[in-house]
Amino acid sequence: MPETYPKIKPQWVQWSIIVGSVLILEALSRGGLIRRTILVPPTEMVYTLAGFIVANQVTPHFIRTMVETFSSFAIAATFGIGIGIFFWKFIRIGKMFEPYIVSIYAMPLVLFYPLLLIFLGLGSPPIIFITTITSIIPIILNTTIGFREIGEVLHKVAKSNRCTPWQTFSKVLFPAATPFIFTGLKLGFIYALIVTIGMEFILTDLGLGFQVHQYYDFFNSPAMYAYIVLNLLIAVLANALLFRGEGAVRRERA
Amino acid sequence: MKDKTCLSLWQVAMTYNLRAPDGTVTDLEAIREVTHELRMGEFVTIIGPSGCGKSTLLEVIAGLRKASGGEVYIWDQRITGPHPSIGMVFQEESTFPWRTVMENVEFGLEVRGVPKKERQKTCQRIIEIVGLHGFENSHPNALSGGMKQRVAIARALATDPEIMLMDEPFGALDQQTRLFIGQELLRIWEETGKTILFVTHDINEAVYLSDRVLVMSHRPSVVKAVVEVDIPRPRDTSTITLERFHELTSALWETLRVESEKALGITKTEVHI
Repeated sequence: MPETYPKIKPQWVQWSIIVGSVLILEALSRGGLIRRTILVPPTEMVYTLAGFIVANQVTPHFIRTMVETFSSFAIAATFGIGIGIFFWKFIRIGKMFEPYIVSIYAMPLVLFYPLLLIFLGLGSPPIIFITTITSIIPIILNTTIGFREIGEVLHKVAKSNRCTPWQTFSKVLFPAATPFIFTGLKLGFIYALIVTIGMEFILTDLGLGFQVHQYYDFFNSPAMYAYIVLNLLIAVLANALLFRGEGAVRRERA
Repeated sequence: MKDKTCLSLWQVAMTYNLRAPDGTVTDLEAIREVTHELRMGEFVTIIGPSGCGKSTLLEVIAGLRKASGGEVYIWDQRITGPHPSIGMVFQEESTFPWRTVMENVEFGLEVRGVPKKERQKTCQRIIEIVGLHGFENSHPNALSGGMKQRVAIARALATDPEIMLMDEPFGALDQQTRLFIGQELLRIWEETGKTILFVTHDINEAVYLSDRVLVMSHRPSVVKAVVEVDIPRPRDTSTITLERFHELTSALWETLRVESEKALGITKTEVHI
């Protein structure tokens, strides 16, 4: 059926929803329809956040969160791609372990935090541990799928050109699997960021997630929302960059 | 030079061991015996019913698959694996989408360790031969199906092989594009002087391109007939209107029809009904 409604750019609708929601929240909170203890006006959230940034209050927390996120992601990416390739190369072992890997997805790992406290203590180590486990799963699965999906003909091209095993891997198979690997890395990074911030609520005394939790305990709504806004901005920025990167990789091959 | 034999197939046979889900193994004899010789600079086409082992035979010659019997020689060297004197073009889309046209064509020379400047010079010449000048920096996604196959042909030509094996390279293209790209292939062949062993399902394509056509029988296949194509060269798209062209395609079809019926399990009675 032909589209009869006027053509509007999807981006306009997306931005309108965001701007509209912010304006509604601003009006509701400024008009006193929502209590300040529940919601502060968005402009005040941004103003408070700006104040924190100027006073250099955010930096140590930001650094801690980023260090935890990136170190977890780096470990997950290194081992995830390696394990994914191993599962592709040794199909039987891969099939054997796949059910375990997939079931970790459904497991609320946060429940293990009392154990982690005992074994790893408070601070970054238990956060990096849980974040790595969560982040590594999509990387392993996507890497394995990426290599399994490579057409037989590319193997034949490599063989007929008398490529060494390393040349076959580095010049043909790995680049061919890249779109899948990239999708795994994108999901892995997003999970790493979400889990790090979430775990900082309970397992540490520094970090952006911890700040939200702390200001919540102090009933300091403007400060709590300021950090929520910052967390959202980081997540949206990371997501946008990763989607853009993934789009570029896929467009080249479309 | 044309009298020199460059590729010899001697009693090449191929039997597959098929494993059923219950674990029992049965033998499938795909190729019973193929013996033939190609002289330098010839354009020879293999035609046969679906599943008769044409592609398998090409892969055996390319050293990608080990024959279960017989021997293949390039000059007097027995083939035991991929050989530097053989280039192969596949039926499926085989260009590397992450590489530009130039980088695709460079691939064979790159893995052989040829310095960048030298290989780019060689590849530029090959790109011009296959008519892709101006597309050096394009990615395959920006090219049509016919152009992508020309990239694959250029990639195979770049390593300067004596023999080009082409496994239904135009199978995915429409009839008109096939005809024109076939003409391009003849031009490239005449310009480079390569020996080409070409596999196709298309009788017209076989006659239009070749010096000689080998007709393979249904499984277990043997060479059922060898048809010399005596239409003078150079040929172009108007060749298909010649009376001799029709005589040869009709003769080929008569030979092939029986084998295709066997392959499809059609009996005479069924055809008449």
